[in-house]
Amino acid sequence: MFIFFTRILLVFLIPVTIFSQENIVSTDSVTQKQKYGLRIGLDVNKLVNSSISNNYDGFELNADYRISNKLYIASEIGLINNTEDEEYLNFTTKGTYIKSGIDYNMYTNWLDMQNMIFAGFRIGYSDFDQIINNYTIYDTNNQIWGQSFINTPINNKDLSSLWVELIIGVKAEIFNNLFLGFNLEVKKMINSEIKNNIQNMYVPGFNKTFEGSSFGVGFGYKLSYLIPIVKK
Amino acid sequence: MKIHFYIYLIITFSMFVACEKDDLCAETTPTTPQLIISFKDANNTNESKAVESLGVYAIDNNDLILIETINGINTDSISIPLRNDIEVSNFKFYKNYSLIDGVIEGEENHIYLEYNAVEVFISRACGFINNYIDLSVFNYDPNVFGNPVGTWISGYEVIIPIVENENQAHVYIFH
Repeated sequence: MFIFFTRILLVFLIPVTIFSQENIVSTDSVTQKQKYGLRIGLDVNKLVNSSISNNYDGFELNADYRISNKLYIASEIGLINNTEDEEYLNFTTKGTYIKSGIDYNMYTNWLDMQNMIFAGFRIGYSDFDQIINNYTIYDTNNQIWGQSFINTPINNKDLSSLWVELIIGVKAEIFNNLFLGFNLEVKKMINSEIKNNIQNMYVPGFNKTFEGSSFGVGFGYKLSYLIPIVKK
Repeated sequence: MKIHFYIYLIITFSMFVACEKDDLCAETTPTTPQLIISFKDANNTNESKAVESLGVYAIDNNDLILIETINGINTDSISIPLRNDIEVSNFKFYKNYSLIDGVIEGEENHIYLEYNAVEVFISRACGFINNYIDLSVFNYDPNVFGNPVGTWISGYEVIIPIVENENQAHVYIFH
């Protein structure tokens, strides 16, 4: 866990050092027209994971819309079908999610570019089912009677979760109006409905939940296209 | 600037791909509880009374499986695992137990337990354990008619019919 957070810190130190020099250049440039518009895209990471893993299918559409010089309304919707095989159980979570919030662009662009180093927040909501496909009763004294493997699924349907998240990331224009972005998310569960006293071990959009903690993490790899609507 | 972005993205991506954490069930996690039996004096039911050279076998269909920790010990308290695949466990309790050339010797007593198993979710890593409710104990298999003859156990008392921990005795056996 410590290494994980160290990595997160490193990740955010890198872009700060990269862009710090270029900010100086932008201060003496002529004020240019800025593009405003709707940027829509999808999460490349979820597509890659879906194609390489038999246990994961995920798809996310995202959009942001510039409302002022620094502020963007942002939203993501997605659907996920995720199966995880643990030591004593195998479970599938499937459902949809929506996240909405605001991004604040901390990067001063040169000319009319719309690159971003941003921080923001989201409110997330997911509707999902959690199915325990099979499980083995955890019994360390099973030398006598043997392990008890149960193949009758436990279906916990129509569950829902509500959470907030802080998001930080970058978006860079790689071709005209086409952006590639990366972001990290730190999430805090507000409410997660459970059934049969079984923890929701994975929540679409929130990702893995941790025992005894309401926090979660995530990241996204986003490819998006800007449809320019206004130039200011 | 674009070059920097590419490099940055590639580096971070490779970092996160290698960042999956394994969940292992910690050995300290409470497991499925065993049944605790205390042996009491039949003439003075408040007094503990050790059984001399006690040996306990689980009866799994027609096989007898020795519980390794109860192999001819003098004790007034034992813990035995209950069966999880069906809600019935059968045991043979031997007093003055010994095993000579594969032949079991001693005074035999058949013990039959009935209960309902309740699955309790523990965690992602450990899954479920069983607790047991509605525990009842018989001096022999009630499906086999006839009273037990010449057994060394004179009676039973279920103290706690719910087995959800190993903190105290669930059953007293008088002898």
